[in-house]
Amino acid sequence: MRSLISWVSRLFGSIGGGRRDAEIHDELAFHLEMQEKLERDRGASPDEARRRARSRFGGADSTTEAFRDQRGLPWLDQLRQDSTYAIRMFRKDPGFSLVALLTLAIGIGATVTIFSLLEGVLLSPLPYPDPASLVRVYETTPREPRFPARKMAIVVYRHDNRTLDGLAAFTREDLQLSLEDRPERLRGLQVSANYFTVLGVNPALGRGFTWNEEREDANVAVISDAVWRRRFQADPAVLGRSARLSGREFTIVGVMPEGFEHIGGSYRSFPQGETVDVWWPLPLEKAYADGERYSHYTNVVARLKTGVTPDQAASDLTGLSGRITKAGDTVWTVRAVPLLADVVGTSTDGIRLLMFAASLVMLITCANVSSLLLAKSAGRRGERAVRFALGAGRWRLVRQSIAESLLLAIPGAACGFALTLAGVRFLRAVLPEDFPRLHNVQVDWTVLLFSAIVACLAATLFGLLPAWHEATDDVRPSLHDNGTRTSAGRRTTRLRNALVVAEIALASALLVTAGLLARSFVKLQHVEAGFRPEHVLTATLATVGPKYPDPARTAGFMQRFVKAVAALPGVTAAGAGSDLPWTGYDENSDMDIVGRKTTESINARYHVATPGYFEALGIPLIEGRLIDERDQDRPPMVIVVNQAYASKYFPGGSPVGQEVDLWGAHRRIVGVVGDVKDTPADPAALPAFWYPHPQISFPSLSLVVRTTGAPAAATGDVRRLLHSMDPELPLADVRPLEDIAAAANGQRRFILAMILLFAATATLLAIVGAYGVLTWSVRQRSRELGIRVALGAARSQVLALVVRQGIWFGIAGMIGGLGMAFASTTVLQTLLFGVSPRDGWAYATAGATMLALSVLAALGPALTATRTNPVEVLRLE
Amino acid sequence: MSPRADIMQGTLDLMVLRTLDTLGPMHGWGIAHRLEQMSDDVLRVNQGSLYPALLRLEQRRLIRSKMGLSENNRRARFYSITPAGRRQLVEERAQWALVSGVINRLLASEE
Repeated sequence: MRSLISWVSRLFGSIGGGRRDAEIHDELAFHLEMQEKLERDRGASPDEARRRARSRFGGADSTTEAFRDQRGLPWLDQLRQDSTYAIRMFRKDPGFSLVALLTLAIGIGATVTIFSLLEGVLLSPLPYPDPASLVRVYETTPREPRFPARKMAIVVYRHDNRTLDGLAAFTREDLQLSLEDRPERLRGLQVSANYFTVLGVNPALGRGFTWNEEREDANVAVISDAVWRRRFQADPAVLGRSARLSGREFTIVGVMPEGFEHIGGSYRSFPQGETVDVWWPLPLEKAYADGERYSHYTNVVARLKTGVTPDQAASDLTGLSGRITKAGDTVWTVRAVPLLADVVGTSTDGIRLLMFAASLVMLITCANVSSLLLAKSAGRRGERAVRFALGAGRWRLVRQSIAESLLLAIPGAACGFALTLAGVRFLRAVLPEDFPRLHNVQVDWTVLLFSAIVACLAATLFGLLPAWHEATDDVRPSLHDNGTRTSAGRRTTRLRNALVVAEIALASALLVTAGLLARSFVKLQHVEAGFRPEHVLTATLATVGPKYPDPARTAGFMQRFVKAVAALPGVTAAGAGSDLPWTGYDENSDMDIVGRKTTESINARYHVATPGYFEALGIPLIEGRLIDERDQDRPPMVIVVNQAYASKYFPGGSPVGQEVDLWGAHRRIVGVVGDVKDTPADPAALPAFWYPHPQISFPSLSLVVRTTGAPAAATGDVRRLLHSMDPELPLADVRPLEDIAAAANGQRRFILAMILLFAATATLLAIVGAYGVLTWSVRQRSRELGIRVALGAARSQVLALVVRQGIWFGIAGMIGGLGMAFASTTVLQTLLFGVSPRDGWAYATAGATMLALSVLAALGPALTATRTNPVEVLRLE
Repeated sequence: MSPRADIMQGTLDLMVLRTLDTLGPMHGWGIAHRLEQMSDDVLRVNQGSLYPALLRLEQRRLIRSKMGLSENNRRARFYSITPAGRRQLVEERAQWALVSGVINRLLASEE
């Protein structure tokens, strides 16, 4: 209690500091006056009396200091004082302050920007209640780790599980909205009745789907907030209104809230975000044909019961999967992946790498500022010695240096934060469109808090070394000479050298990383695509509506349209197919080869193509023929296969002329085309085949148009042509094939660009650091250099002396950095392509670059050193 | 700042309290002067170190201070002991007697 009272009164002392200072002064002056009077009474002369009074009293300054310590809360009081002092120091040396501030801003800006990416994508929860309990459920085989589930299995999982609070199914099925002359393709998602309940988000207006609606495949729909505003003028009376969707009359029963995000998925789904326009029922229990019930093409999302882990749920469902499997068949294993992990996928590795790189830049920044502060502190040894002699405590001097660090860190963080605001806008502009949760990357309170933490951490990091140095620095000798050429000066030099070597090491490690990623990227660019993306326009066209009641009508229209497009001026080839290369299409089918008895499962990816499709994409014909006008909706039924198919299932022979039993018919293989891999980084293409479009009909096809000029220029002609043939059909997703090809490498390009940026920044900072230290050291050694020159050292020898030090920095740092990179290569593994993480070329380039730059950094100071004038230097003595 | 000050601190507090208890309100110089007279100049303490001690005692509410006029008509701060200070003095005197008795006995036995 007593200590509390004294604490409070000291706090008041702190606040009313000014008045009390004057009082203290008066009181001490009174004391001295009285003592002087006494000494005079004892017979001393006035001067002698004053001297005696003072010496009797002791150091007035240190008393005042101790008095102040006791009076207020010393740290609060002195923080104010230290800050004033530090600000005065910074004002006196604006060059230093500017460099330190700029350096800090770069480090903090880079770190916080990448943190906002990390936070937006990996850390912030998905926008559903209790998102951690949501999982995506897959049926798996060793080859297909994430296979969608069978409808009949989903029904059993949903009904009989013991570990879930709900399990819902969804699959992408776009709908065509015909409203007021403006047809529009809506991104549609067929969902089970409990889909919204499982996610925990209800429609803002109206309701979701009932069990009856799911069972009866009712024509009801829930629309997104965006569609409600765009096409229905945000009219609340939209509920119960009927809308024509893909030729069926739907009743709108609900509107989802603004900001409701789709959970994402790569197969028959949309990316995570506000990417769905309309939801409609997915009848799971309808009497399907067997093939449909047992095919794996429906996505599943589930909510775990409290306390249940994804693995427990997976083994619960695997048990159910075994129950519905016929004796003798392989049981499908079920896998449950936490929703967030499923959404962010492989981007995690890239973001982690970037965060790591940004932290290295931050460390280099701290080392740089620390080194600057050390140099500054060395220059102030004389002053420090005087303050020490006048009674300032050692702790007080250390506190001074901490105050300086904080005063640098706070505006540094402010500038860094400003840089982050720009950095995040930059990120959102350059991040590939398909980057998961891109829309969630923003500067928010968490990011602001993080930058404050980073600033404090940075201040501690770069302030610690100078503070420790000052605390242990013996300043006494500094009173005898000018304080710069003593052994303690050498200690400062050693510390700064160590810092520079550390900086160069960190920068070298980043350079190696950048080199490895750059090599991977170059290799990726030279991967044989298997198609020619230049001069190709693509679009999506869905043939739905009453005019296309059956596959034959659809196929007929498609063939006529494609033929007409091919006849357009400036078009060399046109076709349509089920999909485009490198877009994640993944539909597979089993088949038998006629006349072959085998237990081996013949499985391949199936596609659909119209005549002209391969020609327009530039996929070469290897053998036999392509799909052409002969292939109509009647026998002979045919398919075209790729090389991977031929070599896997017909090794050593030719598949052309062979027949397969597929989808209820014997189909003849008439041609072999070149391979196109699923993504450019895949090791090899998978077996695949194409049906002619008339023989298997798809309601929605990708149009491919090869042009002589710029592909975008053909857009207008194609649109006009389509409008003239059927004004109700919209052309969607119009974009050049080159964009799609570039997007396939988008994430890698982004990671590479960012790492290059960080590596360049880190290298620049390290080299500037080395330059600073060398310049300083030349100034420190001016006397020695002067003597050398006076004793006849050649200019070249002096030059070599300094350059040698630069080379030493380079070598020491390089060895450390390459060693660090070598030891931590596993971090990179998944991000590399065709390059070993211990690729000699990358290491050699990084090492050579660093060494060359170190020499460059040394040249300036070295030239200064050669200009040392011995007479001038020695006269200074 | 130096360890010596710490050793002196308790003693100085005790002497200040005792002085104020016997002589009534005094200003800083008066206390310092009195202490020197009493110790026959044996204790060559810096007079300056008295003031932090006075402030510390005041913060602990063992003494209080107010402005007044000195004997030569100057404004000066006068310190006086509080009831809490008196209690503290009794306690510390007993403590001192105990400790000094022990030390004296110890020193005597060593000879």
